[in-house]
Amino acid sequence: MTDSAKNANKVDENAEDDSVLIAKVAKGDSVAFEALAAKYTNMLFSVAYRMFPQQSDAEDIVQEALIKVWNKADLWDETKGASVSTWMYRLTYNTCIDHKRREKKGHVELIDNITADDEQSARAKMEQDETQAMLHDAINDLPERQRAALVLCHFEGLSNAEAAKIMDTTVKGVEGLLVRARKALQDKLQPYKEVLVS
Amino acid sequence: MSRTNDNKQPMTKALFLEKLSIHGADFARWDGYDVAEAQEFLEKNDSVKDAYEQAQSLDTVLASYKVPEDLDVDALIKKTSAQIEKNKVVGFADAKDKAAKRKMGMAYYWGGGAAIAASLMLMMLMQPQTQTPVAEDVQPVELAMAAEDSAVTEDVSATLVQEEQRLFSTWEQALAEDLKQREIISLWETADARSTAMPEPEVNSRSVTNAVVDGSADPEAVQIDRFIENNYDVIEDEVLEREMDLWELYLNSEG
Repeated sequence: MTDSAKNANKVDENAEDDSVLIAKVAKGDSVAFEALAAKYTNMLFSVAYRMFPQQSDAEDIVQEALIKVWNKADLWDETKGASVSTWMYRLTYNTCIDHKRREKKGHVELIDNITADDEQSARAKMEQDETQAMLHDAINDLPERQRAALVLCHFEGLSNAEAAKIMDTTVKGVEGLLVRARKALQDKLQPYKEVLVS
Repeated sequence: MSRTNDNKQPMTKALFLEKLSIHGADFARWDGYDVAEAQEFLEKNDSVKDAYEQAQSLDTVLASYKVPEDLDVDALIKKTSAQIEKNKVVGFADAKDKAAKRKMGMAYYWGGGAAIAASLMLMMLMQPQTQTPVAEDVQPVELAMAAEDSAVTEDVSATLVQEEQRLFSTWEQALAEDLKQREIISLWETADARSTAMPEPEVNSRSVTNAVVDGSADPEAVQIDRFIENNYDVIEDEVLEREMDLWELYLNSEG
């Protein structure tokens, strides 16, 4: 089991504490907010970073997601069956999707700067670890929902049912996304497999 | 987070390959199947070994994809808290807070209306005491004073009537505003109840599975279209479009 999954298990054990904390946050308790944020920031960052592998982007997404937690704390409803951690994953996932849409809109305006951006990203890639760069590229090329399913189920260790709840789809839908994501990665990484595995 | 269930099917080659393609080579991830059972099937079936090794090597590659460990959590939380503090007036939570206050405010509208009504009744009770005395019972000087008093009383009465009209007008405005707010909040609550009761978007799992198998369609594209169609507004602001209209109506009515 991944570290994230172990963390998620620890988080579940404290589900009762979470509902107390979130109730306090809904009443505007900033101390409770900071406690909740301290507990989940690493988990949210892990999702955001794997969706947007630039640390600054991922940090922005986490910040935006935490602000949503503060603003929408009173919308969390224990009776709807989602744990606080699932709800926070969902807010982060939605923020990632919003970010992606904004990025796509922005891309049209920045199209003239593609060469400069490419040079910059090429330089950045040279500075990065080669294996990580290849993986970044392969995962980054996945359609966003395939990537989200892979991040939530494979890297975060969530069950398909939890991922379905977060992504607002069915368990079968998540399974379909996972099959295609793994297949695409297998094809994409095939030429580098020896380098990567060694 | 449980990886076991009571409805598991007996392991077959097709099922093994399906689970492998979904969850990868780590049997601990396989929903509903324990590690020993899957391991036993693998050992007894050479025909699945190639596929298993491929999945295993992909898992090894993915395991090397790490998240940076140098995230300064405290600094990020402080930055977020500062941002929240800075923007405290903005956002839906505040809008909802305003709605709650508005609901509380209705009590003041009704309370204010009751106070106005009470003061009007008090004024009507006091008016007979300002009547002019009868002429036969008083001396000439007193008559002159009474005439002067009468003029003052008429002025006071006119002022009271004006004040009464002003208060009635204010009260009517308050009641109209109150009704308007109640109507908007009622619409909001209805929309909220509807959105809560709205079923999850249906995904035809059979067609998705078939499409994956025979490649006749792109089920993901279908899913994404349906997802965007059903949920785009939810993703944007966590508020449906019609609810947003109501919120705008509500917020504009504040001014």
